[in-house]
Amino acid sequence: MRPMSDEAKVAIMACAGMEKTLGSVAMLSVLRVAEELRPGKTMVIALPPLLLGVGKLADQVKRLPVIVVDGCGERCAMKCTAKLGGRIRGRILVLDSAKKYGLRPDSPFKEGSEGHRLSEKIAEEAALLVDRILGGQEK
Amino acid sequence: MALSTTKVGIVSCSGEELPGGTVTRVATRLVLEKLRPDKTVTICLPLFLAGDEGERDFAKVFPTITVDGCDKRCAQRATGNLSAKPAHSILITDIAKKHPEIRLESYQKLTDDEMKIAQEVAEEIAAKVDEILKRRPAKTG
Repeated sequence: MRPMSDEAKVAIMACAGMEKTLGSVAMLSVLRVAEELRPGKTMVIALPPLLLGVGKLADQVKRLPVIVVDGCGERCAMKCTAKLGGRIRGRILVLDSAKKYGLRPDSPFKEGSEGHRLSEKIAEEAALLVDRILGGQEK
Repeated sequence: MALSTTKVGIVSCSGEELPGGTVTRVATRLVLEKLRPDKTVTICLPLFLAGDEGERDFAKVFPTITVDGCDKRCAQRATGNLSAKPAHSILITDIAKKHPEIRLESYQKLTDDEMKIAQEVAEEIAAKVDEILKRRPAKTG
């Protein structure tokens, strides 16, 4: 499992659903934030173990501010986090972002694809949300 | 009326907390898009866990193959607990053990070596799909 930093201050969660490629875009976006854009400030939480009660993930989503990135209109990550009493402080929907940036949410695993570029855009947006959340806490 | 089982549901953990989760995702997509596109459908695990009746009913009626990245076995446990016992379960770490020279480390883009593991997993899923559809008796309804 990814090493978790004690200094991580924001939990970031993708639905990572398998319907078409929307979930893949969501997943790659949060990984990009955690690994490249805001390492050490964010902690990735996977939805399946959270919902199955593995470890102390449910406590983490109650304790830390959470950013959810959902692929489709079902908004599983948002609904499930809210149901568990998580502190949702940021929400991104891949479908909305695709419209906003005019990019097709195709497979993000192909470098240069529109889905890949979309995951980069969403990651940048999420990174700014992390800064805003942490900035607000520091005041 | 006799309905034959023509589809197998693939449930992958897709967990982004570990590299094995990315392998499950890539392997599942290889099966769905290239190896057995007409014989498989995916079950969206988050939607399934969130309580979607359509996903759960599918897994009650049709055979499923679960693909997990680690021994928490979220996909297998969820399918078994909330719908029906999977027809077959695959654990990435079991397959990776056959290749001690390859370390699963990538969360985003898989390396060529990691892609080999994903391809092997995809081929195992495809072989199991064929086996399940061959032995599964026709459903009556």
